[in-house]
Amino acid sequence: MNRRELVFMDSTSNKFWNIELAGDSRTVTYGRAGTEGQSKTKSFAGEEAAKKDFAKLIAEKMKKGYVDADSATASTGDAGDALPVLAFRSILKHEDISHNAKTFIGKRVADYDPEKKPAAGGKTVYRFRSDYDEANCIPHLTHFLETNAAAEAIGIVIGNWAGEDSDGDPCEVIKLLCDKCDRLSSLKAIYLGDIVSEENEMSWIHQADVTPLLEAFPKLELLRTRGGTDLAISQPKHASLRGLVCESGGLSAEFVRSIGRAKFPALEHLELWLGTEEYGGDSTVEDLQPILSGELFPNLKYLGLRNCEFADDIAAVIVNSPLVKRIETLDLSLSVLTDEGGRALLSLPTDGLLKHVSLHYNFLTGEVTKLLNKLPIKLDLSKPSHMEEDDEWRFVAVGE
Amino acid sequence: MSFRQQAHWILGDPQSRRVSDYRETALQFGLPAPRCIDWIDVIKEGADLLNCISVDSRLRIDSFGQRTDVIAALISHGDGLEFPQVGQILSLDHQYSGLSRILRVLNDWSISRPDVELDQQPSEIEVMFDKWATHRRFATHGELRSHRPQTTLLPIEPSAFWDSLQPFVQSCGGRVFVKPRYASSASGVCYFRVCNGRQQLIAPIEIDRNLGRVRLFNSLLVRSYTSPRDIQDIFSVLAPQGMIAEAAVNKARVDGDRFDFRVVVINGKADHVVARQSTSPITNLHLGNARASLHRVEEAVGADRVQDCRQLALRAADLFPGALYCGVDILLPRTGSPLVCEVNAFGDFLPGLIADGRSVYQAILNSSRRCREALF
Repeated sequence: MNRRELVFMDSTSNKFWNIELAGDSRTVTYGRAGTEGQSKTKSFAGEEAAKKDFAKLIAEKMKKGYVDADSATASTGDAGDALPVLAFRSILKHEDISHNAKTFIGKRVADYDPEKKPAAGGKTVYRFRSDYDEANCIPHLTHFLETNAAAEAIGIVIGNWAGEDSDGDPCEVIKLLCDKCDRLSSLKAIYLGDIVSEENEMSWIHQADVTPLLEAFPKLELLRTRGGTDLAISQPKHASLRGLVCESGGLSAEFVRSIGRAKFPALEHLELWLGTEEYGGDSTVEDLQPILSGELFPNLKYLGLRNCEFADDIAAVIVNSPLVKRIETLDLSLSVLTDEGGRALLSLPTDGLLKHVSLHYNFLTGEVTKLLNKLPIKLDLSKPSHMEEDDEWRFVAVGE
Repeated sequence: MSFRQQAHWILGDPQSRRVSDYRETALQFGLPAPRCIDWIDVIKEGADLLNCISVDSRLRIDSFGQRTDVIAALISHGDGLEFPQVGQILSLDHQYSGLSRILRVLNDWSISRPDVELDQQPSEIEVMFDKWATHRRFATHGELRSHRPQTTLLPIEPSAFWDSLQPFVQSCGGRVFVKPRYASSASGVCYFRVCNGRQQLIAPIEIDRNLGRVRLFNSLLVRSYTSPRDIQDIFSVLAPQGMIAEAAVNKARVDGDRFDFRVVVINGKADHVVARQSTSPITNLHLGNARASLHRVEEAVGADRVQDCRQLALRAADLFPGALYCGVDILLPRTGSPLVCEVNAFGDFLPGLIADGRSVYQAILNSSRRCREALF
């Protein structure tokens, strides 16, 4: 194969990277999705050297999380098609938690401005949020719902709904979206809670029962929420939901158990940020059993059990779970995974479909990292042992 | 003596890019290469050292930089006994005392050498390095008083510090910046919020606890602290170093992020403007924040409001007539008129920033205080 087309999507970017090998040179073309990008050609002493560089660059990109553009997870196709699973990714790197979404489902996110005519064709995903001195979330959303752009919106982002009162819940926003669901006839993805710590601490966010959204939007493919307090799905049932992402500082055991009772036959991407007991995350590995049994979500490709205090327990159990042979990606990042859990993961099955394992931002030492790297699986072991690596962040103030 | 022949001197850190860039700019203009005197020598040997400066020279006082030996020498000179490790936030008060003493010596020296043209009078630099003194200067000039956020000086004794901070936070609607009185580069700057009985502190600070001792380090990672113990520990280390509190301004946004302005005012002109875009409440550029396109900012808030910010920067700089140039930080609230935040004596290091065809250093080299005074 002399050509590879790769793509990458997360909450800040949607980009492509193509490489073509021609004799003793190779050309890389890369840029933001939807643009022409830029090209760089490099020549080598011989064909072998060019081939070697071609393979090396591809391996580097794949390690960073790029996937083939025509793979099942990345196919974008036309607006009428299903969303690519790749677009369901939430936060890839720890530092991305601190800023608002720049992209959602691979599209650019912009704050809605009622003074400006919204972009047609659903190319921009609009965010609706209040600030502490201005409660714009509901009025701006109401305004948007009356425009023609509403019918074309594929995704919608609800930011800080609470404004000045950090304990405010999103019930009113949910009700508005549900009441006007006929205005949002193309909607496939909702992000309820694009809220960064400056707006409201993740552990302070009050959520709500999101069942009404599932009922009002039968074509919904992705539901992403942030905040664990009071988050509930009292009727976890949806025929076409393919992605569920619940970011939190702590998900209650009851919530985790409700996912274990869910009827989401189409689910491909399940991401739970289990959190810490301090913030209401009182689930244990027992509560995850129905999910790990593998029967529950027959189409699951990605399982993320992130931001978790008991990642070592999960590691010990998951290596024997029938599910892990069937999924493509296992994400245990942003967690308290120590060498004990790391060693357990050495027994991960490598004869199934599992291709990617993310252990980004954990507590593994170099010794166990080395052992894990020998597994024939793509591993993200970036930013390990973050308790010891503070030095690299220190700076000296310059007098000015 | 003509501008072209005037010998040029810099008091600075000879190893710094500030000095090398400035020297290069002078050479491009066909001026003689400026010679650099190292801060450390003046701190250790006093103003006599400056007598090597030839008659009728021009002297630019530049940043003392971030070298450990210079910082330690300033702290010693200010009677401090504790010296920071790399990146540690310690002895800011003594560092300022040391700086202040040197600046007074420089001031006396400059009176004895009226032939030497100083770009900035040391007494002006002394005020700019003290955020409370700067605030007082603005607050006592009626015209600018309404363009300052509500501000208070906090006591240095930790329990009195809390007793004073809490009612102030309440009076500001729950959100304030707590800043070291004498520091720069976002060092020790905390965004502090009290909300429904809970506290939150967002700061580029790392807490290091070792053997029961709490130390703070400047961190490129802006962190959010919510545990009362962490917050108490941060303030207990910062309070004795001298702090002020300022009502937090809800900054305007561009492309979903907050921004504010650094305006370098040079000889009564506010041409050089940088909008600093940030996802966190702390916008300093070295924290990984981007320079926003001025064009995008004008689109977002309107060219008139950006013009208002330039005007305010000019008026703020006018209160420092002894300085040929300074870096003025301007906050633009989401609604309402702009506010002036602080004035930085050495806030002119903005490589690559071009306005009216000139870099900051080109514009500085192209003007002189003597000409400015003639204008007044």
